[in-house]
Amino acid sequence: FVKGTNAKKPPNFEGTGVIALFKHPLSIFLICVPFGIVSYFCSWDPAYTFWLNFFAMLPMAKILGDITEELAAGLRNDLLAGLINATFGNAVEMVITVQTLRGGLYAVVKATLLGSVLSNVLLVLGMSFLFGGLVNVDSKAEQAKAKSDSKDAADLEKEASGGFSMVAEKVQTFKILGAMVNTSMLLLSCLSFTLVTVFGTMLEDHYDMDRQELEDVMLPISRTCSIIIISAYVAYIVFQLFTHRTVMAESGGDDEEEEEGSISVTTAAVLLFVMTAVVAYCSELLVDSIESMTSRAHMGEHFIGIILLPIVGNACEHAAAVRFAMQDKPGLSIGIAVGSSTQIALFVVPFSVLVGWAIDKPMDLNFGALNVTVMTLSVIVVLSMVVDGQSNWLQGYLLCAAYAVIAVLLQPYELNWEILAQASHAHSKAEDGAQRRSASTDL
Amino acid sequence: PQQPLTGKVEEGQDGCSRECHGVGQILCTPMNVLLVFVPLGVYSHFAHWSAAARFSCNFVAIVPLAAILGASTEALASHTGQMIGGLLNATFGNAVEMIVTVNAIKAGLVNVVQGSLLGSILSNMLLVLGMSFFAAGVVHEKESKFSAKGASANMTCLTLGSIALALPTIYNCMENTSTEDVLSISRISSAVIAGVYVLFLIFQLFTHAHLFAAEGEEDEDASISACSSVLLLLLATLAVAVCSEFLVDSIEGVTEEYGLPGAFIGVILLPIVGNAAEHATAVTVAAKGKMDLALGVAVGSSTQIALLVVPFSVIVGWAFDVPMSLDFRIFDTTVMILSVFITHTALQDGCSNWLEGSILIAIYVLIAIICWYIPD
Repeated sequence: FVKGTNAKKPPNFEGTGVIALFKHPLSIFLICVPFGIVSYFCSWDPAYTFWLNFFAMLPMAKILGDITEELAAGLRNDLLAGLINATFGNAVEMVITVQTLRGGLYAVVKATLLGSVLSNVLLVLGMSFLFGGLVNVDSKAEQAKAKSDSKDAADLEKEASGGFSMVAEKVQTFKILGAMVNTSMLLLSCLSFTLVTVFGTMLEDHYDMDRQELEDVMLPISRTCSIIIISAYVAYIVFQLFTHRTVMAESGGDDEEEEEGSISVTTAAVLLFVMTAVVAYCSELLVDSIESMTSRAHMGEHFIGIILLPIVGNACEHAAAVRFAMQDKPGLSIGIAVGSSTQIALFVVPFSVLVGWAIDKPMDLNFGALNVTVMTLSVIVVLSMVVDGQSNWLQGYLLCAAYAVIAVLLQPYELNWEILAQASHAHSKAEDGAQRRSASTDL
Repeated sequence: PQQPLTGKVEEGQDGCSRECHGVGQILCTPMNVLLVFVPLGVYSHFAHWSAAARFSCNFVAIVPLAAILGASTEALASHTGQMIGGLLNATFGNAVEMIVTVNAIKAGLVNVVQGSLLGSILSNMLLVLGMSFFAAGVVHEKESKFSAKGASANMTCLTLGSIALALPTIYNCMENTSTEDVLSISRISSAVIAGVYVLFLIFQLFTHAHLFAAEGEEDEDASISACSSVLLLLLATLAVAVCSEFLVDSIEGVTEEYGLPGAFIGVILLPIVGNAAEHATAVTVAAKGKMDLALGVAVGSSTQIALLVVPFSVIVGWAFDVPMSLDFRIFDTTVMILSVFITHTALQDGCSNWLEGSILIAIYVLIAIICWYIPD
């Protein structure tokens, strides 16, 4: 299974077995794992701790994803495999989220989750449309074939068109239903975040609630809404795995061979457990170092949250999506990009709220007005791109451009964001109130 | 399996007895024993029974009436086409709401009117439509097809309706604006929107009527004439209107006992009860696979409220000199725009499945939760 879809995973290039899991250029960064841990205990500069752990997470995210797929394949039970894939597909994001929550950095949690959705939906999808629309493996091969078959005709054609028009006019087509269902689910989550945020703003402006009162209202709303969003996610899984299985399945692999689990279920389970523990530990160190990083003003929490942390979780999906697009399987790359953001928005976000409930942290669904606007507009842009079931490089470029615009926009926003980050700490309430009072007396 | 609701009519009967037979088919069903509760509900209101008793009597009374309403709508639709039949049903349904709105505006209850109008649009567009999609997907078939162009014309009109709400609301958020300006903006915009509704009717009934006709016309023998089905529809609507009015009256008493929040009652509870008949009609016809008819009832009804009842209420407010404007609160406007957008997405491809239905229902539940927490 490919993460976020119910399509069969194409066979691994590197072969099979436990060793194959670690045979990947990215695995070089595994060296950073021990160094990252050492750096923490020898109390090196927090910047080193941050970057070492950051690079250590890259290969581990990939390996964790592979192990999940192996485990799913090894179980030989579509139901279990689908469930495991759907829940552990974003294991790294979930682990990072829980660790960040425990550290009380709500702003970073929200920014990471939002950044994951944005980078998947805009950057990853845009890149795969762009490269899928420009690079043309199959039609080149067809041209070559046609040339060898009837040389004269091909020559004539080449003279007439210059050989490039095929590439320039390339359009990729994919199944609309799968893309539309995913995007509708994303819209549902956008709508719920927006409603909660607008409601919070309204309470603050029109009813003059102070922070404690606001929290008393916002937390139950967020928690109840989270349960409903998760139930919608469950419905989505049922839809994908049971009732509409055939409609949703992408014609992914041309060779639909039954994939064998290359490692035994027990090995996979043990590996999954060990890797999760290592990832959890590394991410804890990562989160610990964030605060000292930001206090030394290297970069804002917002930048780390929206740009850097999502890269950790998404690097290998990014590569996979672009690769499938270049192999003319746009359905698969959309499944990876949009499906993965659906998982985050409909499962990881409400999951984080519920975890916050369990460990008694005031995590809510109030993402801030700018963030929900950015997210809703992005989903609308993506929707307008996938609605016709076709993609070309211009659409890809537009999506990447939208991502760049958002990055530029968020740069000066960091100041405001810090205020917002403080706002989510309940203890800053009193100070803020005092400041406001002194400000009003000054006036 | 589809069963003609009005039953088979034997050949060789003359027109009149055939007509009586058809009407009898609709009226003589086991469920219609419950019609006893219609006079009982009316009596309970005037005899000042307890709120709970009034509520249950009138609620039970609506059930058989809704079935009659659905059957007569279906009979009418076989004469006029599914979309037009839905439109007529929606019109009869909303006539009642318009009367109630006028009364509330006379009493100066602007916030109540705004809340109930928004609630009606939402419950039709999200809950009724979602339930119909869900019922059709679970009972009838995996993918239900409907006329995407007709639905899209409806949704474009609804988008206009939500923009018309959004602009005065945003204008009011700017600095240095006066309430009088918002009022005059609202009144002029209302006239424009009502004009668009007339255009929409011309589009739907005359110039582009083919878009709104179901693709596979079934050769279902209409057992009663268009005239008597309209008459039956009118009578049933009237009875439903009376019962739902009393039901709404009793709800206030019921909720006072249990202490429900005001916004929740206005935006969620009253519209659900008030739309019970349309709700039942849409779900029953959707379960039989007549998606165009269900859409005509659900989406058509919310289009009508947004483009006809809302501007109508503003203009009535003008006439009675009540400050009813299009400035719904910013939260209400956001809810409206996003709901219209997501419904538009669900309708765009011309086919529905149960997941789309449950997404729409989930959104409605999310909105309901937030309304529960709106402070009075």
